[in-house]
Amino acid sequence: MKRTVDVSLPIGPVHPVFKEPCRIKCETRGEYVLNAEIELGYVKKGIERIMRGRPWQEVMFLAERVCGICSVIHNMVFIEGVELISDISLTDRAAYLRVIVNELDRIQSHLLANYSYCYTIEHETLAMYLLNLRETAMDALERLTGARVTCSYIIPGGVRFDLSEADARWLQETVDTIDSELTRFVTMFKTGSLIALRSKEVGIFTREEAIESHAVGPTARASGLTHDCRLDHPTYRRLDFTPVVYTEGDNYARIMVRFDEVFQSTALIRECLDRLELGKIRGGGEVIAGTSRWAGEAPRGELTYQITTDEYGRVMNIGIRTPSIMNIEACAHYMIKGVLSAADVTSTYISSDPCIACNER
Amino acid sequence: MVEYLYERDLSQMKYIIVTSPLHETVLAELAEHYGLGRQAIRRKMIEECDMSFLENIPARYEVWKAEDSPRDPMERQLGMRLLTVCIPMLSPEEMKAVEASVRSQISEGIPEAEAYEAGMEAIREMIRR
Amino acid sequence: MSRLQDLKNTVRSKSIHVCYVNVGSCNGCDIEILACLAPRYDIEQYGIYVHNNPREADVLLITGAFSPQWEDKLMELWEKIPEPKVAIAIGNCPISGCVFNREGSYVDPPVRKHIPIGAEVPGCPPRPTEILQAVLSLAPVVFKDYEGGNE
Repeated sequence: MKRTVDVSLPIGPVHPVFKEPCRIKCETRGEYVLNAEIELGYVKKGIERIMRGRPWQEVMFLAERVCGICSVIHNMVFIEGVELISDISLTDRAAYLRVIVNELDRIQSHLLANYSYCYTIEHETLAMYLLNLRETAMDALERLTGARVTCSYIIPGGVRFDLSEADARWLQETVDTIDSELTRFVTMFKTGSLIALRSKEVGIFTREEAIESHAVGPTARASGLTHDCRLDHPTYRRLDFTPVVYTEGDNYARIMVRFDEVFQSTALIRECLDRLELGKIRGGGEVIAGTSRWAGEAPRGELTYQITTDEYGRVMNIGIRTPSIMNIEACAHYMIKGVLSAADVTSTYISSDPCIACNER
Repeated sequence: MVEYLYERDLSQMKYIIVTSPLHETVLAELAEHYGLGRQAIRRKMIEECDMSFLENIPARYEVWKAEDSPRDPMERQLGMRLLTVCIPMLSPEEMKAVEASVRSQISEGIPEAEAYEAGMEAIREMIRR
Repeated sequence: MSRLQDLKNTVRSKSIHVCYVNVGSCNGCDIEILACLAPRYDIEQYGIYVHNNPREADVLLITGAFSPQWEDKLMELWEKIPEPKVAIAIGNCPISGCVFNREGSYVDPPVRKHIPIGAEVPGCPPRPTEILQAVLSLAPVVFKDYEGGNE
């Protein structure tokens, strides 16, 4: 088919709004975007290849370094996959501590994603507020796990460090601070007329398209899909929790889903702290040969690990499917297509919270 | 003479993507179903899809498997939606032509298995091309 | 030393434009660079301004273990930055490849093979304060008497 294309507009790989290198090639007619294509390969490291044949103790750290933003969930899903193979059980306290750390990670990731979006639509004030609030979540993460980013907190059969009484009280206060501060910022976001102009009805992503491209996480939940892997997780099922769903499918809905999920995460952390009883944080166990497929809900959506181990606890084969794979594809082929101006390309792209490092591994 | 700035041959990078463990599983199933070599399918994928799409192939393949349409015997056999929408290796027009010829063969009284085989051969031909 | 040069030195040490580029990292270092922007660390009080435009940059922060797509592009990027300029490697990846420097991976560390590196900040990832300190302590040294050095 022949098309009239005025301009082929490449954006990237180094661009002021991109946190990571990737290249969006847009075909435009005037400002209207007819088609978009994403060129990757700028952060391809071949992690799955180097993981093969290495002991799980080593793969655990590699898994965490698939993505630096959501490192806790990579750690968690890999370890849970290994536990599933070897039938290692978990103490209650460790299970709740895992959820607490995972939710803190989700808070910081969502705040970072919304910061990026606000920065992209040039609302720097709100962006800076959110980034500052994220530091509060990072402090909590550091106090619990000992590191800000790659903390490798979760190990087979438990977690690395216990939560002291004083830390638990402090965490409760921190979570309250996040809640009260964020309520203010969300009101700013909801009532800002600039934000509404730049976000509402931009980058529409329908439910059918979401199903077709297998979109996951907040991107899918903003289009009316209720899928959330936390519903299938044994610990989360004990907690009071329903997924946040919006049906508009535009940039605004995607950002609001993330804001609401931060409140949900703080509620989950509070509930976990209430249920936390004294006990062991580590059990024993041995990693044996087997195969498993385990999925967890990363901040960006469903993260799947397919692991095969041998009798020495070495990882023989591993397949990682990160949420960004689906979401970036959905973003490029459905959301950006049909956007009215070239300025909306970047904001729409950022609204799907792309993580290139995840995508390419 | 137009000289393209900043464009380089991406097939090597794309090839790296389609040789990941999850892609191997999908390719094995596709190769067995269509009776084609993996390399031929890979080549067609690399030609037709951009990089983000290639990454998403395992997920899209799962979507197709979970859909209702594969229960329809013709879809299960030929994978019309699979090859045009879920993993767009062939254009909808090409696929329609194949589908029409298979349907006409069946209505003419040719056994279904034979008609499907003829359709598969046409698809194989298009992927190899 | 002329007065003009003194003035230039003062101005340069109080106005540092930063560009960061990810050549194959896990994002960990990138978000720590972003965290420097937060009001908590307030990078702008030192006159450091982060905007990802190589044409305006003085300091290039490099994260990541150098993936093959950057082979030609990183040098191009480096040449786009106006003199005086300096590159700082952030994290273990550009220094040694960190966990990714294994047989079978696609990366090609260290980055100093590809472009000249002025300083290296180890850590996986380094803390925002360490990044900040590296930029602040290196930039005035490199940019001091730049014109004088040329003569």
